[in-house]
Amino acid sequence: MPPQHHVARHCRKNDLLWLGTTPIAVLESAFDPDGDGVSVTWLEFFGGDRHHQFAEARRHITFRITPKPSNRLAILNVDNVETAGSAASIVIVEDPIADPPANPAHALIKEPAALQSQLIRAAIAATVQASDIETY
Amino acid sequence: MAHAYVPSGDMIRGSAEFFSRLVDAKLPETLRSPVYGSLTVLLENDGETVTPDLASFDAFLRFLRAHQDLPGPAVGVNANGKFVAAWQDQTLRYTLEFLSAGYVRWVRVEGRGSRKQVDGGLVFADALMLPERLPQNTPA
Repeated sequence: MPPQHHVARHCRKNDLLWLGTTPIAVLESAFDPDGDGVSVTWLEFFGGDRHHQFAEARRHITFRITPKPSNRLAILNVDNVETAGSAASIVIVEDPIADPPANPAHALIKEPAALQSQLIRAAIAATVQASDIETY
Repeated sequence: MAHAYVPSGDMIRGSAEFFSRLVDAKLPETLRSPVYGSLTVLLENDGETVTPDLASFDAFLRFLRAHQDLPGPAVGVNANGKFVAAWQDQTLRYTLEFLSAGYVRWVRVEGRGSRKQVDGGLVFADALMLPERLPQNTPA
């Protein structure tokens, strides 16, 4: 995946760190692997401007998840994530879901074994700033 | 950009105890206010709330009482119900997870890009050595 691209990670309220009622960071546990890795959605797959990419990402994510009002999307830069996790060879790979409801932009942060490390997850979480947290 | 959330006001059972203990802690407003706001979110009854651990919250409040000059923390409750306090900017992220029996798990991520250093540990709260600088959390 091109290093300048971005992926979106669905975050529940317990994946987030709240300054009052504003989420400004993500807990490292937001990157606990589930099965083959950490599910994310590749934004630039959808082309167009960022507004269009967000709209398409939301549409595809909400095929499978009904977000609560407190849920957010954490936007991560591919290069930042892979650099943060370089000690454990963390990579983001395309993993399109063809079965309905399809998500052709689905991707995975891998490898799940490396993501068992709290320190690796913390390094990845540290790449997400307040300005990288978007609403649904 | 980060957007504030407006909680519904529908709280989980037992939430009053958390707010009561926060009042009793008599923290300065710089600490009380962000914690109060985070509780209104984290204790909201929305069907996916993780019930927080009251002992973890007590430990968190003891820590804040002992360090009243700190910048306001960002607060989370993880899947185990433990409170996590965090201070983060572009170059430093410091988190504290308040565990049982007085222990705290700390994690520090510092630096930029490929020069980022990550370390952490498990210590008794009284033995915790904070970084020289903790970031001032800001909403955006």
